[in-house]
Amino acid sequence: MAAPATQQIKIRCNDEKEFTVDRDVLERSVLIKNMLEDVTEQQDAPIPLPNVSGPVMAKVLEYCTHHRGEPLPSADTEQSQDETRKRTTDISEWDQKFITVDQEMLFEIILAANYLDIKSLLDVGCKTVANMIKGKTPEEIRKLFNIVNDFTPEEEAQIKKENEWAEDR
Amino acid sequence: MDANTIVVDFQDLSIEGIDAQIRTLRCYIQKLQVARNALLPIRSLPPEILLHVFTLVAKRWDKEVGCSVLKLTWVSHYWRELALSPPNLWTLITDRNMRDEWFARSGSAPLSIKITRTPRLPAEIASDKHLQALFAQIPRVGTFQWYSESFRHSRPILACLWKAPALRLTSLILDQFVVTDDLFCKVPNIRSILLKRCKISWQGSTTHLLHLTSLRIIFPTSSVSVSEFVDLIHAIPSLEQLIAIGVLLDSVDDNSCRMYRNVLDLVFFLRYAIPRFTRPQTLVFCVANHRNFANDPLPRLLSSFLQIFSPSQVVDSISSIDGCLTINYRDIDNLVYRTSLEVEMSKAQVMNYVSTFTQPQNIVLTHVRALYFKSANGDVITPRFLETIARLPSLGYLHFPGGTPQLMVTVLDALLPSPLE
Repeated sequence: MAAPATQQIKIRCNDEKEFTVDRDVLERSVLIKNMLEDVTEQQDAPIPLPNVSGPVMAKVLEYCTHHRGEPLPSADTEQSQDETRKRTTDISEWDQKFITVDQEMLFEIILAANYLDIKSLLDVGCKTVANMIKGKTPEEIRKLFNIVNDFTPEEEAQIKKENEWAEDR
Repeated sequence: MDANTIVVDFQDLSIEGIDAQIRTLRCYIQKLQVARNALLPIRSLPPEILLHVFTLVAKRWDKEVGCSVLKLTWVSHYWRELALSPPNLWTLITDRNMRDEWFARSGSAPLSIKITRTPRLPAEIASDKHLQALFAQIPRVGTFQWYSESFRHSRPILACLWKAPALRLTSLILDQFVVTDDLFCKVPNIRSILLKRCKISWQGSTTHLLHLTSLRIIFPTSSVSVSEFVDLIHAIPSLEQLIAIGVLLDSVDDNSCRMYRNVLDLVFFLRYAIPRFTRPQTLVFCVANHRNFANDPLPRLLSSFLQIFSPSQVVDSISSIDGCLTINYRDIDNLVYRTSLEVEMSKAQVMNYVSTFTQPQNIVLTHVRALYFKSANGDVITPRFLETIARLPSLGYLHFPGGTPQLMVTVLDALLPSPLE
């Protein structure tokens, strides 16, 4: 007997790019899951996602497809996950490969995960940025993110003082 | 002229005039730099997400724990403003950051203290301005970890805790401390204690810990008898989690017997400790200190535990790591005691076991329903042993595989009520 057909949902990104995706994949996003639960009748019109572009959505869907079927973090596990998040910056091998993108795309994925409410993806993104920063000097961090030193003279003086006592100990 | 246009006046060639212009230009440059940084991809992240990243970094910058967050404030104007805003980023206090500035940044948030350096004399503490700054914050300490270099350093540090009678510690980790019986009397609100390699005065050490829910004692310098340990646990009414490794007094040299002895101890302990535990918890008990399990009777040991707890499926999982047996329980309320012990001991060890149970301060194992004695012989059937057996009200099965009919008659005579009574 053939397996029951999965419901297909259409979404439209801010660049008019449309995707037709299995409902269970899309429901990795709590935002979309809630939207779908609110709609009682079958709708053909695509769900508009004004804050996500097509290329970023393609990456997000790649992530959601890979992790489809995995349990969503419940309210109970959220707190413990928060604790875990604080403790570790470990990322699984597949997620690491998936998130190896240029900085602009990385930040876009984080923003999309935040908007779409996909906690696990947001977590992977934040851990990746934390790992990029980890162990670097302030100068190296500036270079990494193309930041220029923009401190006021007063801040510079204070930082110099802090630097002295931090080195001193 | 456009308000956003900068005009450099090369006519004013006085030093003061040029300096003023340089200052103005620097101010403009700084503003331009801020504006430039605001356009970077990383600035697209909302502040709350960047702050979450900061938290992850602060927790992971292991080599410079406590100072990592400080270095984040040295990156840019925006990062500094952001990192300085939440007090909880500034609550980890180490040897490197015991400073008023740091305490001010942490606001009134509970502090986590992790100190490894210890002044050698009380006078050194009094003259150490960083330690004094730390002591002033003691009332809002959330967790306290102080790794002492030697036992003799602990007293001044404990004195610091005593200075704060309102101290509401959630956790206290003492490494290589002298834990005297008066240690906790002025800090009764502690919720969790880890005593690692501590010198513990077992008499009344915990009598004041009314709110303690978790007690971990790892390899104390001196052991304690089962009865003393049970007394100690009894004195902690809210205890939910107990980890005791290398705690019980062990006079038996043979490893195998020591393990069995510990099983008996554990059963004995569980009988009194578990009924007061109301929530699922983990109980870790040291079975043996040696790490080589290849030739150990551990599987049989585990099976003994399963026999004890299987009726209500309360044993969630059992694992053994580094010589510690961990049993995770659930559904403690439905725990049914169906204890059966498999004991393989020499006469001397059995006598030792029996004498432990006949001490006046010990309580009878009321739920033991079966006793198996594999290598028993007539020698162990002494009046004292029989007295002990008779004190097990739930005992329904007694197994002596090597016993003779005469031996069983002796046992039954002792156990069954006399017709005259």
